[in-house]
Amino acid sequence: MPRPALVTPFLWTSLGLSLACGFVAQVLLAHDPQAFTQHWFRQATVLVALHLTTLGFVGILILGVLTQFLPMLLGRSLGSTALAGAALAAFVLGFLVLIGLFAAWRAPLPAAAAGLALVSGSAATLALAWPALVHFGPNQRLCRATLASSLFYLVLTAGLGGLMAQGLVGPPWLAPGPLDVLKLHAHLGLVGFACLMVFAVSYELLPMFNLAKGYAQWPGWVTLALVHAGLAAIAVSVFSLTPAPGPWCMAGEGLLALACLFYALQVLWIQSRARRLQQDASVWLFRQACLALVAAAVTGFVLATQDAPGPGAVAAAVYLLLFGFLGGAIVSQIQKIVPLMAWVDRFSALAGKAQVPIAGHLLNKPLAWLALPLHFLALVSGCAGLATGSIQLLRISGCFGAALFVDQALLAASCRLRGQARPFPMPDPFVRADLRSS
Amino acid sequence: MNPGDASIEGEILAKADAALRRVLDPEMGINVVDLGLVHSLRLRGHVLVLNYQLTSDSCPIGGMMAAAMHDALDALPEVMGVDMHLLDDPPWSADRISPQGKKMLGIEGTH
Repeated sequence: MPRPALVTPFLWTSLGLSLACGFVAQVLLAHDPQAFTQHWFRQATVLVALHLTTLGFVGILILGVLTQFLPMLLGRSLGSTALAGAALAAFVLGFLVLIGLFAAWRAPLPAAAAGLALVSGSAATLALAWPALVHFGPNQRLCRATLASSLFYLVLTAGLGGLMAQGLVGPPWLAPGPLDVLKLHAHLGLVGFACLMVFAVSYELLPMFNLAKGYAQWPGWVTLALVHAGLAAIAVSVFSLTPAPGPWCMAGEGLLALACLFYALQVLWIQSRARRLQQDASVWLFRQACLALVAAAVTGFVLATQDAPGPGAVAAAVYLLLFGFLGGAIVSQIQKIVPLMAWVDRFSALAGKAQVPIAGHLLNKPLAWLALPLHFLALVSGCAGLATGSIQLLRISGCFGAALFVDQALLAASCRLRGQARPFPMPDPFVRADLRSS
Repeated sequence: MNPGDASIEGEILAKADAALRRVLDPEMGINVVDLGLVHSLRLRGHVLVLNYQLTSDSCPIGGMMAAAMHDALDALPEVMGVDMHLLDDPPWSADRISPQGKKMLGIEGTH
């Protein structure tokens, strides 16, 4: 019989890299909080922290998981493990070059290096994902469309980022100012790429882990359509030079807010149909993340109606989405996937031959529950700090955030140490179950 | 073994059933029989024929579960081989979990 196709060293590497990126981003927040208060979008520290979180923590982890789980979701081969490894390595390389360029900030950035970094990552990702998307089973059309859209926005946001890096946002043919393009770049990356990717993966993972009867298709399709329409409206508002708050901008933010609400409803629907919804740390963390998503969506819409929203409020909205929703949702799923990865590594070959612990028993529950207050405290202090410009609160937020990533690293390490296999009890257990139970 | 010998065949199938009950789903913690993954188990000569299914097409450990079931059956000394067939229609649903399995999972009486 063929042994599992789940190549766990690949997943452990992605997990380690991504947690390291998240940790460093939070250390930057704790170490240099001033950078996040005034003109934060022009600060090298902020750009490094933002991209460490979006491309490093979110991107590497999701793409790493996708290259392994997507073939199984599809029931088809996605190509060799070497291809998956090469694609992820290219993405990581491009990401590291980009981070290095931001760290040694000079505007405009060296064009060739930035372009190489962006293109190599996104092209490798698409090359890897395309065969899978083409062959996706018909019963997962929503998941396929959401994944494809996410990768499409990754290319768009990377391309726009490349243009910004080369200082090409000023010419007449690309009339809007740098801040407008930055806004579009952020929306395409955070909502288009990262949120849609999390949405798509969660459509499959949430029912699987909760024994739910699948998921409703129509709220997912409505969510996807609203995201497309919302991002298109924001693009129109940027390129039509409509002064903020313009109707296109408000419409775009409104549509995106509705999309987030529909997604939150979808999650509630899945959980309501779960036949085995364990009220564990993972479930509560996901609910906390969804609350942050709704809060980010509403805040984004309110800011779009204001003449000149303060940079602190905008930063708080970004933090709600980036750390609140994306960070929380991903950490919650790490708590489900990591024990399974540890089980595959240590016990899959012994299944049926010896008494082996189940995956859930490998999870250190105190460490898992600790993530909930750490995420909450980091989020609340971070948002308050960004909105009010409080250095102290930002420093506290960075400390709680860094502690969250350390907690997750310890949790992953402990899964590899807990539990052990034991021989089946004697005498011969080959006794009919009905006789044994009687 | 004489294929017509029902008592020996019954004994082997009972052993096979017990062997499959040793294979636990690592996520849910109940064995594959109570989970409803085993559709049918019969003997064809000295070969065990197992029709089974997985909880979903996207089950990340589906291959592993199949391998564990195979190994558990193949370890029986009376068996010369295992012929496994994966069924995907109708798709698995929680309704296939046995009453005992539902009790273990705490999902008795749910929709």
